[in-house]
Amino acid sequence: MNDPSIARRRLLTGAALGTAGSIGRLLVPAGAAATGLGNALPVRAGQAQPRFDDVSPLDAWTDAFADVRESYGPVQVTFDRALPAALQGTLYRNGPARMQRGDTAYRHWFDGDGMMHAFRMNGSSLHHHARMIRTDKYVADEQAGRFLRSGFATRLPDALPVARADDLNVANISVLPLGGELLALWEGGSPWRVDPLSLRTLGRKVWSPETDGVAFSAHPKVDVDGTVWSFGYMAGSGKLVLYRLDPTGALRETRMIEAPNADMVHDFAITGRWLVFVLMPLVFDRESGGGETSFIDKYRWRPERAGVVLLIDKNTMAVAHRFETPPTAFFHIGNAWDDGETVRVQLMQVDDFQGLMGNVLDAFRRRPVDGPVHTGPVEIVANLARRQAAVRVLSQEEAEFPRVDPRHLGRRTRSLFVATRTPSMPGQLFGLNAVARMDTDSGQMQRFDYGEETLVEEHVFVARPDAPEGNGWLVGTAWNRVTRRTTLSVFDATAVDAGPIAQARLPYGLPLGLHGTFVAA
Amino acid sequence: MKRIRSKHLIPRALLLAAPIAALPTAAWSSDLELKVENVKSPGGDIRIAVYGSPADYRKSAVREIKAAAAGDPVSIRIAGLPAGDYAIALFHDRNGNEKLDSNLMGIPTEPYGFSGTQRNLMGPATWEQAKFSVAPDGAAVTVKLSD
Repeated sequence: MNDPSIARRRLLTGAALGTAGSIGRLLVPAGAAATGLGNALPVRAGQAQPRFDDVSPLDAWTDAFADVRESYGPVQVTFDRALPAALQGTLYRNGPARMQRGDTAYRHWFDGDGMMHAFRMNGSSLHHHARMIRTDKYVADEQAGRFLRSGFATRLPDALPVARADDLNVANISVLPLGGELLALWEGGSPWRVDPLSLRTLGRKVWSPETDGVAFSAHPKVDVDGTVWSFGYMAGSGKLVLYRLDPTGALRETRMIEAPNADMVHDFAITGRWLVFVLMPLVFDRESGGGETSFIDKYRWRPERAGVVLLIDKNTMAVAHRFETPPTAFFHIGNAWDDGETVRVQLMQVDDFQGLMGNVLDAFRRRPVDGPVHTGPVEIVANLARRQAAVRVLSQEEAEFPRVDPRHLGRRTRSLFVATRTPSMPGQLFGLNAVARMDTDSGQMQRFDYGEETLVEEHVFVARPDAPEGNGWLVGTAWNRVTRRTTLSVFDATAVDAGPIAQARLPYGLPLGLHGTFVAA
Repeated sequence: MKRIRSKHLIPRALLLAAPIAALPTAAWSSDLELKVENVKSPGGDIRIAVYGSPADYRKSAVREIKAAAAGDPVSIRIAGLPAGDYAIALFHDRNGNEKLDSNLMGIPTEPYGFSGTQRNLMGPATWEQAKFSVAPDGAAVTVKLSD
């Protein structure tokens, strides 16, 4: 019982018991308090409508996930201004949604069951619909009336054993439209098929017996010719599986490569010539803590080990180059390109990986963030002739959820669209409250600040047909923590700082999500 | 994570030894009543390996048994085991190809299970997790197949 999370949880439980009588906001499952098993959070109950001046920033993340429904909509709302005629289509977006079941709450954002959203934009109207993704895991939990298995970061008492990664698959990270379906993507297991019109879950995606149950990344890359590249990793295996799919979604090739430091690989990059992996010295120790710690607690940041860049030839799908880099923690890659001698990869460097995970845990415990961890854009520059890779800071600004012009993926770009943070954000609150276009040549940021009440989600770049790189719109949602409503905003991507050119406010708030993609009508 | 090697789980050579299970019970030995639960789809075989020591665990079985996966649960009597510690690895050979099918990462794509009560099956159970004792008057063990 040396898991510090248990000690923290006991403290939390004690605090909750001390205040529950006075404010009636927390219910502590008696069994959990008595046994001290697991690290799930007590559930908040009896959400009252907040008074405007009485909303603590510390409640934001639990409020955003309180009373999440099975589905939202379909509803239709009107934009405050007409949309550009060329901007018609659907923003599909995925994200963790269900964080509670019975008297148990997950303690980390990434644990939540996925929900698929369709934001359909047509003329001056926004049509929104969302449904829970009914994975095997979700259906089993629903039938049992409780979370059955310990997840990514939450260890439950009486958890059922896990036989394969898909037992835990919450399909909650991103979405790939492919072959007339949507694939709801996790990163540790299979994609889940979702009908793009009804958002009904159609089943697990299996391309072949060899890839049955093999992890498929949440960040596949659609090449300029329509080829879809992806990968899968399995912590502790020392291997990566590479996938090449044709534009119809048929699996054309898989390849297994040896990969050091491949214990957590969230994103990768493509250039004209290469698939690029930047592998972190984040080491998974399966034996760490025995059965007493959750998956995330088994990771250790090992900065004494170098980072590794792998360049894989797109034609042969074999490793052609391997460089060491300074250890660089990150989740997301912006763009990457090569000019023959050098390969450049933009990534959102996390100053302290485990600290960032701690920030998320703090947010869901309604605690002030314990030293907000900076995440900002850097560029890895790998020189093929010198066999060296260096890290260059692109900006000191906060930046996450990077998006680029998809028509120029793997080619040189200047426009990087990110979510960022301004000083108007309450200091103790985890998250982001602004969006920006960054000129990656100059480092200059053109920013729109949603203000102190708002948490922003990923904003997706949508290209204007026949326009140059970076010319188009930025489309995304933001959640107001005071009104608890979600608004979808559209920006001119060349003038983000001018503010939204159209906004539509939904009649409800949505759980804070992760990644989306736009499909033009 | 180490893959479960089907060639170790059910070595081909030892398949020939399977009829041993049907031999009359020796006076000095015990019967093991094995119940296999969570047989989700009927058809194919449950292929069972019984190991008798940590050194031989998942390498060389003292018994290899095949039983038709006719229903749920499947009950099998394994007769004539000397009293002592054992561990069981088994799988549901749904397509009857005599091996535990697995994907590129080596993760089984057919249901499998081990004796014991380990909480996390991401990877094979250890001997310590899987072991159980057979007393002179026999033993009963239940193994739940993975979903």
